[in-house]
Parts: sequence; structure tokens; C-alpha cells
Amino acid sequence: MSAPPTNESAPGTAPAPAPVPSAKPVQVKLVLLGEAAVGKSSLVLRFVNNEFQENKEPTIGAAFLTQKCRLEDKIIKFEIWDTAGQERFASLAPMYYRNAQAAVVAYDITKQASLEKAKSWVKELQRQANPNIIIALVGNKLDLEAERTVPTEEAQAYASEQGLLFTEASAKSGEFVMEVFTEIAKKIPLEHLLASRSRTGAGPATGAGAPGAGGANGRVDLNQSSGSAATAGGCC
Amino acid sequence: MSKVLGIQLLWPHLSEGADRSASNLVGRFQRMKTLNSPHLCQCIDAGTSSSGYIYTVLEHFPRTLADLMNENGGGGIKDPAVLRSIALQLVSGLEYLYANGVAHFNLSLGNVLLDASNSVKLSNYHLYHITKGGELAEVSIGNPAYLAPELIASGSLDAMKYCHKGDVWTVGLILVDMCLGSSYRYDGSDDLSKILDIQTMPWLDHLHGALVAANISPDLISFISRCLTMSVVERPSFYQLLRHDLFTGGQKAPPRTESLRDAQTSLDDSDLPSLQRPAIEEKSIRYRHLSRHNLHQRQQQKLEDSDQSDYFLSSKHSIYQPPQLSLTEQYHLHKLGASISIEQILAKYGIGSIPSIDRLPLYVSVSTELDKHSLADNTRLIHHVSSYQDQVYTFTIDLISGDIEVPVYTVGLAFTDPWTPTPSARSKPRKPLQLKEKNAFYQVSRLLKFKQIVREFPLSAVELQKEAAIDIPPLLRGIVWACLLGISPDVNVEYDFIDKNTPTSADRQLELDIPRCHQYNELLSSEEGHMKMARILKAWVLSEEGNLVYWQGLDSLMAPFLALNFNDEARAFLCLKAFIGKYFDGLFMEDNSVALNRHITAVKCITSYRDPQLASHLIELGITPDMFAIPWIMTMFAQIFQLDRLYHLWDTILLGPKDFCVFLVYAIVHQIRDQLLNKDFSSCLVLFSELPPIDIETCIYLAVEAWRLTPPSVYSLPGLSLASWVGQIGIQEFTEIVGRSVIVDCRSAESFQNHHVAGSISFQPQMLETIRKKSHNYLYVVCIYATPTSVRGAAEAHELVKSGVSHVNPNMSSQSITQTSQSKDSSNESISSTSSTGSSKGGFTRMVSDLGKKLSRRQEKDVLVGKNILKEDVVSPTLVQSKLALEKEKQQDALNRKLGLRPSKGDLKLRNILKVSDSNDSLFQSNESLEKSLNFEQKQTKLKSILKRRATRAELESAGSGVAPSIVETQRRLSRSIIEDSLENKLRNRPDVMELEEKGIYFCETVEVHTTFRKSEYNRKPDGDVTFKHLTPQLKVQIRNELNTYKKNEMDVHVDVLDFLLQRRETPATIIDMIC
Ligand SMILES: Nc1nc2c(ncn2[C@@H]2O[C@H](COP(=O)(O)OP(=O)(O)O)[C@@H](O)[C@H]2O)c(=O)[nH]1
Ligand SMILES: [Mg+2]
Repeated sequence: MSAPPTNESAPGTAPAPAPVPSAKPVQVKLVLLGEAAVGKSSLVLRFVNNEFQENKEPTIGAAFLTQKCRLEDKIIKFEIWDTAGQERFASLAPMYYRNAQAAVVAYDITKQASLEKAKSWVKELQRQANPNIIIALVGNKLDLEAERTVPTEEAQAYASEQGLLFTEASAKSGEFVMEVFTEIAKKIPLEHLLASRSRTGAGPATGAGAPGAGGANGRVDLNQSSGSAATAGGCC
Repeated sequence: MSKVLGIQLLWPHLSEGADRSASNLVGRFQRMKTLNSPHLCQCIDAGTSSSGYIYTVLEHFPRTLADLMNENGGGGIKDPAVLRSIALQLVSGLEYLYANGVAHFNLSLGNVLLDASNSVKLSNYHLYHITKGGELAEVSIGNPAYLAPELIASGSLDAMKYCHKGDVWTVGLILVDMCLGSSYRYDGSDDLSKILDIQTMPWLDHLHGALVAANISPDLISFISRCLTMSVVERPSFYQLLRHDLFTGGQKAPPRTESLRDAQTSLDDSDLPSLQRPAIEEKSIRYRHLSRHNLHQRQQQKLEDSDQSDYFLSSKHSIYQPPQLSLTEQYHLHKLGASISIEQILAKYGIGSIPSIDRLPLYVSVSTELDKHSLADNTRLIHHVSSYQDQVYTFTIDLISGDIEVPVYTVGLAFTDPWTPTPSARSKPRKPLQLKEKNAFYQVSRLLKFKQIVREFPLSAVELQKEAAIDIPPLLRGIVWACLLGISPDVNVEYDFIDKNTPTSADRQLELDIPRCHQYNELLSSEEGHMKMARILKAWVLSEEGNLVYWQGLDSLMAPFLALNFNDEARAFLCLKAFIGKYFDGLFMEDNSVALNRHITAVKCITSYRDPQLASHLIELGITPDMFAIPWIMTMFAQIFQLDRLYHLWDTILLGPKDFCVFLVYAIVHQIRDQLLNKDFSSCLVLFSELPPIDIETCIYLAVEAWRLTPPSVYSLPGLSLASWVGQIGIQEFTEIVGRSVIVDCRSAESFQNHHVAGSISFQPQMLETIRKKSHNYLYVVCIYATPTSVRGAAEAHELVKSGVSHVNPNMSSQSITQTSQSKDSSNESISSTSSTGSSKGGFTRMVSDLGKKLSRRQEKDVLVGKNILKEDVVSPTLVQSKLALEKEKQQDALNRKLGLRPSKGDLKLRNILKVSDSNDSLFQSNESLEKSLNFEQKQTKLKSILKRRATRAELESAGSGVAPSIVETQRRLSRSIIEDSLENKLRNRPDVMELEEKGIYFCETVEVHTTFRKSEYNRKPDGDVTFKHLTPQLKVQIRNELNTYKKNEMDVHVDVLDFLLQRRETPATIIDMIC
């Protein structure tokens, strides 16, 4: 089943307490990783706005976008961190994948080197990120079949060996982009998330702390002393 | 005065990537603008009209060679001087083009234009080059009546690429037409076979005879026959033709301008109408013309960039000329003022938007008998003469002269004022920048002013800053920015010396980023643009090797510089380099985390200082600036604003201090604050990534205002913790706002009882309302904290904000300040080890102060002392020691003994203080009187450093009667201690006696004696007649007068300076001083 994006606007600051638990959107923090120019931003743009820009400017630092999906009776709100591809920015990446429930690691099917980079991201996620993180490996630019240098089988084999979701897609044509996110949504233990979220109040805010050691101290202190920690994470 | 311009239209291809080819075309056109020869029509502009045409705009003259011939009755021109002159001018113009790598291939009698003084002006010479021979757009290239045989034979225009002597043949044909009349070769019918039949070329056989019969000079006949050499290899180039006997008269030297001018005067002598050109123009033209042969290619380009660069060069060679507007500038002024619309001009010629049928290729194949088979499937080359179209759509512009009424606009904010706690009364400039830029008259005055400034740079640096603060004329922005960045206008060779071809590690990333960099811009999206970007970025990477590295975003940063200096890569490169060096402190280092964190922290502190409510909201959501501001900071906003708006932002940045960027971040965030305040975490972040329209001028205004109102210590205290959202204020600045602040003491009640700032309120939850009410009457709310660590949380400050303290009055800001340790730099070990204790103890934050209650002298002293005691005690040894240097020996001994005891005392105190702070005071008071007085001295030093920034006594006195006396008094004491301090310093730096003994004067052991002149050979006595002996008062006056007359009448000076000189003459003393 597919999960078309809904057109609902984001809830305000003071959402009315929903009587049916399933009507609350479940927030899923998702991070996009991969080499520069493999089409990460384009994949998100296709997913979020259903657009494609031929000459998308490079992402610097990171960009944040959201999109809601309906899956069966639940609404899932993806909070997506689209990261910069250049190697140098890698030091910022932990700040974005920390506490993420899902990751899309993209490569370009016309560039063998980008798959190698993707593998190293997978390795880093498995080592450093949330142990239950769901990782999807996506081979982008499927429309450039003629220039393909990465055989599907190769990536497929690697993905199943590592237990990753895998698909090839094209941000340009839109093929299989939605499927990437639907598959992720399906695999996420939503019930569990809902339960844990209300308990800890650990929203994406906490996850996306400041870079560097001790970065979050100030805010955490503050929240604790002023008793406002519960408000973090917005609408849940 | 008015001037005629011509528009050429090009039809975009219908194929895919048509927009690309349009921008490639415009990109290729840019270099054509730098071509500048007296025999070329100036290239002015190119672009895509909204109706779909690609157009180029060139200087235009209505008369052509064909007209000249018609005036002569259609037959040949007989005057050998005219023929020779035209031949020379044609060849010079074309040689210039070829030297610049441009082939004409469009030459005909119809597009060799003549100006009012009958100088030859080539037109349409750009079409072949900018379209890559028709590859990029449909355009008529190669008038069939003038094609060279090899082009006809090859049957394809593509062959032109390999036949670079085609134009030479054409020049031969033009001269034949001029000598014999155009009907000699061709009767004007559509039947081209007569000209195109290269096997026979019937007219060619009889040509020689015909020329001789027409009485053409043998030199010219030989010249024509050289041009019409069938073999491409043997046919001479234009360079060789310039050295033909026709021009040199048999001598070997190439013709100089003299010969050109001779020819021209003789041309003028004929019965053709003539118009004397102004002398200046002639001079500059001659200069250019001559220099062309000597200068290196690139310098040449620089020189000939009529827009900007040549001011520099001309300034070196001419004495003083008021700046003038070039034709290109005139055109762009009209365009800025929207008084030129290409669409409207074309509409007058009945050309609307392109119907799709017209977008089909322009040429229809014509089968002449001869070429039937070879050209059967070539649709482009041979066509009806009637289908060859090189129509120029002309229009005139009025030339704007410099002496006009200039509208005056109010001046914006400047960076000259230091920080001040008072909001400025100045409002945002009412006239939007965009209107100013569209006002052609205003722009003329700005242009002329800036041309002058640029010409005199770097002497005019101060004026430049002043004028640039008003606004920067868009037409000169590239060079003005360069000057603002301190780039010397001299030809800089650094860029040329960098090897931009060898592959480097950054190449891969560049390859990925450049095709995505500001591609909405026509120039930057062109092929030329991509190549230039790659070269500049590569040069930057190489020149910064080992220092800075390529981070994504650098491409975006470079884009404005390239777009503004498209014809001067070297300048764009230098600007980029200087810009990054000046404003990106550490952000482009391999590890930029420190620099990045510093920026992020500064944004936090400024936001919380200026807009505590918003800061508080963001803190609650857990949003930090690093989640949205990294791309803003790394690209100096180049990624979030398009170039036209970015220019305005950078105009200000280039004048501002190096950390101004963070204020702009604040200003942007502040502009969307109301939306942010209503949103949750993710919606806020989405808002940041998809910013609503931001008004740049408001943004600049807010940022400058924030910069002025924010004490530097708020964002640059060395001890600022990364995690802190709370703006902290240094003690110096605190003293300046103390009178306008409500002070809330957030330390424990006990500490508050021990000592506190007079009028401060101890923070209690029930006091919230009181504080809130009180804050109505004050500008600032300041919280005091015991240690920097406790500032991190700043829960009280937070609560105050939430209770609406900052909201009562929009003018009001609440802020938290920390006074960090004031401990003096010292090499003394014992001090550095304890100073950390000192800082954590002595540091305290303050919030909110009071005007109502007066700070009595004693109270203030108490407060300051109370808070510094600990630190002072620990720090004192150095101070004491230095103090001792001033005392008598006896006293010194006594003191030393006492000091020996002190460290342990200090320790004792330390322990006591950690528990109960008021034991401080008692301990302190129990000290001996001598020590007390010493402490007093220390306090003074302390106070001095604290109050250093205070402005004047008068200011202080006016600030508030209650506060003033104590402060003034303190200040008096301070000035004394400053003197003492400096004395101490001197003493301390004086070398030790022991050291002194080491020193002495030693002579070299071997002495060399040099031979010298004997008295008879050389008399050292001065000549008895030397002037200075006889410099009588009368002589002095005479010299002075001579000098002044020289200065007044002969010396070349600026008019303004002249006034100055004349004034000076009235006060002879100064001049005399200078003489003697
Ligand atoms: N042909 C093709 N090009 C794509 C596709 N996705 C992205 N691109 C192009 O690849 C370049 C880089 O895309 P971008 O999304 O910025 O990559 P990122 O650096 O990984 O975020 C852009 O020029 C895109 O137009 C795709 O699916 N097919
Ligand atoms: Mg991206």
C-alpha cells in the first residue's frame, strides 16, 4: 500500500488533545546521507513538494523539511534532515543522525564511488546512531539507466547482507521515490514510538543538539530549571 | 546630444537546451564588450528579450560604405587617398579583431559604417563569434556576395572554423567594389552564379585590366591582388597586410597612427562632409591604438574594458580630466531608468513576440546550377541574397551630461559610531535603494563621483568609505567593491601565475558544484561562466593551499564577484580572496568548528540580548542557530538571496566590521519573529529553510541598529560558553547602562544581603510583577548571577521574559550580563593558578538596574569591592610587587615580609569565602592600614579597567544627577592611578641593574684605514657663496612667492586643491616652514 502525502497543514502550537490516539501524527526523524550531488536534496524535494529542479544548489550544513504521510490508520510526520554531501561537513552529521529513527543513504547509480561512500555512511550509522535505526539504501538517478555503472545486484546484495531496505529511484522522474518513504514508514515500530515519546518527551529538539561536546548543556539546564522540558518536541 | 544604437536579433534554436544556448551566447558576448578599437562599433549589451529574441546592442552609424559609393553616383571612388585610408582602417580594425581571436565573416559594403568624420566603423563583427558560427542561434552569417572561394567550395559554414583568412578575401572584394562600383562583380540579381562560380569567376580574369583602366594606383592594385589570392596558404594575414607597401610606402615599419591620420585628413580634404573630433577623444584613441601593439594580451583586455578598468590606466597617462561617461554607461543608465525597452523598440519595427513559424531556420536552400548536388542537403550556406538578412534596428538615446540637478537622498546608517546604549533617532532611509538605482540623473552624479574616487584610489580611500555608505552605483559596483576590499588597481599578476590547469583534489567537488551555482543568472549559467568559475575557484584553492580549503558554499560566495567582473577574472579572484580573508575568520579552515561555533554563539547572544522573548521561545523549542544559519553564514547569505538583492546586502557588509554577519542573521530572524513565535519546532525550522520574502533594506537597518546597540562584550567575551543562549555583558558596558536598567540580583538571598548593587532587586518569584512594572520605565533589565556557570541556566531571566518583561515596551530589552574575571595578565605562576578560582568566584551576572535609587559613593565602592575582593586578594601579589618598586627600600622590606604571609592568608580567606561571604569584609577590614591603602590602590586599578570605556565627565553628569558624583569622583581617582600605572609599567620594563652591567661598548680589534682625499684635493669647507648663507628675509619672500605662483598657475592640481592652495597663500608662515 502506498502512503500519499496528505495536504494537512502543520498543527499549531497548541494542538487540541486528540481523542483517538491514532489521529496524532507520529513524528519520525529521518536523516539523508550520501555523497555530494547524488541527489539527496532532489529526493526530498520530490517527496515533499513533488518537484524537481535541474540545477539544485548544493546543500550547506543541512536543510530541514517535513512531510506527512498516512499509513493505514496512522499519520506519520517525517521530519527530514537533508545533509550536505561534501566530506568536510561530515563532522556535523552526528548532530543530525543522533536520535533519528530512520536514515536514507543515497548513492548515484552512475557513480561507483558514491556507493562506496554510501557504505561508509551505513557503517557509521550502525556504529554511532540509534541502534534501532532503520536504514534505506537508495540508488538514485534511475532515469540515467544508460549511464549506469553500479549494477543493481551489487547494491542489492550489500543491502540484504547488512539488513537494509533497498530500492533504486529517480528524483527526476519521480519513480519509486514515494516507495522509499512508505517502506520506511511501514518498518518503523510506530506504537513503540508513540509510547516512548510521551514518556520521555524526547522530540527532535533534543536529538538535534548543538555540535560539539557539551553542546546541549545550556538548554538542558535551562529546561530543567524552568520546568519547561515537556514542551520540547512541539505538537506531540 | 544623442547617439544612435543598433539592435541585432538572433533567433534561438528550437532544440532542447535553448535557454542554455541563449545564456551561452550572452556569456560569449561579454568579452566583445571589452573590444575597443577606433574602427569597431562598440558592443554594448546582449540579452534575451521577454518576447523570446536574443538581441545584441551595438553602437551604430547610419552611413555605410555603400552609401558613400551611392553619393559618388554608384561608380567607383577615384580618390586614391580615400581608398587607401579606407583600406587601412578596414585592415586595422580586422587585425585588431583577429589579434583578439575574433573572426568577422560577415563583412560587406553594407555593414562597414562611417562615422561623422568618415572613420570606418565595423559592425556585426560579433555575430559569428558569439553564436559559435551559428551553433547557438539562427543568424545570418556570411553574406554570399562576399564569401571566399574556399568557403563556397567546402559548401558549409562550418568550414569557416578552419579558414581564418576568409575575411582577407572579403576585404579584397570590398576594395574591388569601391574601385569599380559594385555592379562590376555582381548586378544585384538573385542569380549568384556570377560570383559563386569559383571555377571561372568571370570577373576575376579581367580584374587587373579593369583596375588599371580605372587609374587605380599600382600599390592598391597589388594590395587587392594580394587579398584575392586563391590559395589560403599564400594569402596574407591582416597582420602582414598592415605592412603592405600601400601603407608603408615601401618602408618596412608598420603604419602608425600618423599615417592613418594623414590619410584621414586627406579624406577630409576631399569634398566629403567632415566633423572635427574633440582633441581629447582623439588623444585617447591614439593612445589606445598605439598601445595595442605593445601590450600583452590580457593587459590589453583590462585596458579596453571601457566600463571600468581603463580609468586606472588613463589616470596614469593623462594629467587631469574630469571623468566622463562612456557610451556603454549611458546606455545602462537609460536601461536602469527603464527609458529603454528593447521590446518597445522592436515593436515599433513591427516585431512582436516570435511566432513559432518564424522560429524555423532562417535560411532556405537555393540550388544554383553549379552547386546542386554538393549543397543539396545543406540548408545553411548558399541562399538567396534576399534571405541573407543583417538588418539592424536602430534607436537613439539622449546623452546625459554630468552637470544636472541631482536629487538628494537621506543617508543611511553608518558604521562610524561606537556602540551606544541609546536607540538611534535615525529611521530607516525613506527612499528605497531601488528607486535611487532607477533614477538616471542621480546615478549620473554617483557614477561621475565614483569614477573620480576610483581613479584616485587608494588616496581617496576615506572618501570612498564615506560615499559607499550612501550607496554604490550599480554600474561601478565591481570596481568599487574591489577598492573597498583594498585591492590595488595596478595590474596584478598573481592570478596569471597560478596554474589553473593541473588537476587538484578539489576538482571533483568543483565539477559537482559549479553547474549548480546561481544558475538563474544568465552569465553564470553560460559555458564561459562555468569555465571562469572553475578557474577562479581553482586558483583560490591553490593560492590558499595549506591555509584554507574549499568548502561547499565557496562557489556561491564567488558568484557575485564573477558576475560583477565577468571580463576580469583576476579581479574577481582577488576580491574573493580578500573577502574571505577579511570576513570569514576561520570558516574556511580545514577544521572550522571553532569559528563556526563562535558565530553561532554570537547569534544566540545577540538574539537574546536584543529580542529575549524570541530567544526564550527558541530555547524552549530546542532550536539553535546551527540548525538554520550555517548556510547563511558560510555563504554570507549568497545562498538565500538572489544576486540583485545580495548586492545591496554586501554593499553594507563590505563597509562593516568583520563580525557584522551575525547581526544580519539576527536581523533576518527578527523579521520573521512573529511567525516564529506561533510555531512549533518543525514548523519553525521549515520556515527557516523556506524564508518568506525578506526586505533587504529593513534587514540592513535592523542589523546596523543592533550592532550599534549591542555592547561588544555581549558577543565577544572570551569566556562565552558555547551552550549559552544568554547574552552576557562585560563590566565596562554595564557601567554605561546601569543608570537605565532595572537590576535583578539572582544570587542567593544571603549574598544579596552581604553586598549588592544599590537599587537592585533580589529575585523572588513574588517579585515578578514588581519587576515587570518597574521595567516600564527603564531601557534595560539586567540580571546578576554569582558565577558564569549559573548564568547558563539563567532560569530567572527566562522567567522574567516569560512573564512579559520584555514585552511591555517594544523599545525595552532585557539582557543578562556576566562580568567575567578581570584578572590581569601575568606571568606570575601563583596567580595564573589561582585566577581560575578568581574568575568563577568573582564572575557574576547582573540583570536590571535602577535609576531611582542613587548609588552613593560608598555604596558603589562597596559593591565593587565586595565583588572583587576575592579576586583581588589572589591577584594582588603582582600588583603589590610592582607597587613596591615605587616605595622606599625600608618600606619595601616591611612589605615583603607581610607579603610572605599573604598567600596562606589568601587561602584561608578562600575557604571562608566559599562558605560565608561576609566574613570577607570583616577579614578585609581587619587588615593592617598599610595593606588597606595598598588594596585601595588595587581597587583603583581595578576600577580603572572597569570604567575605562566611560566617555566623558560631561556625559556622565548629564546621565543622572544621582549617579554622577560618585562616578566622577572615581574617575578622578582613576586618572591618577592610570598615571601611576604607566609609571609602574615603565619601571617594570626598565632593565635590571645586573643586566645593565653586562652591556658595554666594544671596538673592533682590527681597524681598517681607508685612503682619503688630501686637503688640496678636496676642501671640506663650504663654498663661501652657498645660498643658505645669503637667505635674507627678502629672498625668503621671493622664493615663497615664486613657489606659490608656480603652485597657483603651473603645477597640475585638482581644482579643489587649488582653492586650498590659494587659502594657504594667505598664511605664509606654513609655506615658509615648508621651505626652510
Ligand atoms: N538525471 C537525474 N539527475 C538528478 C536526479 N536527482 C538529482 N539529480 C541532479 O543531480 C544534481 C545534484 O542533486 P542534489 O539533489 O543537489 O544532490 P545532493 O547534493 O545529494 O543533495 C542536481 O543537478 C540534480 O538536478 C535524478 O534522479 N536524475
Ligand atoms: Mg543537497
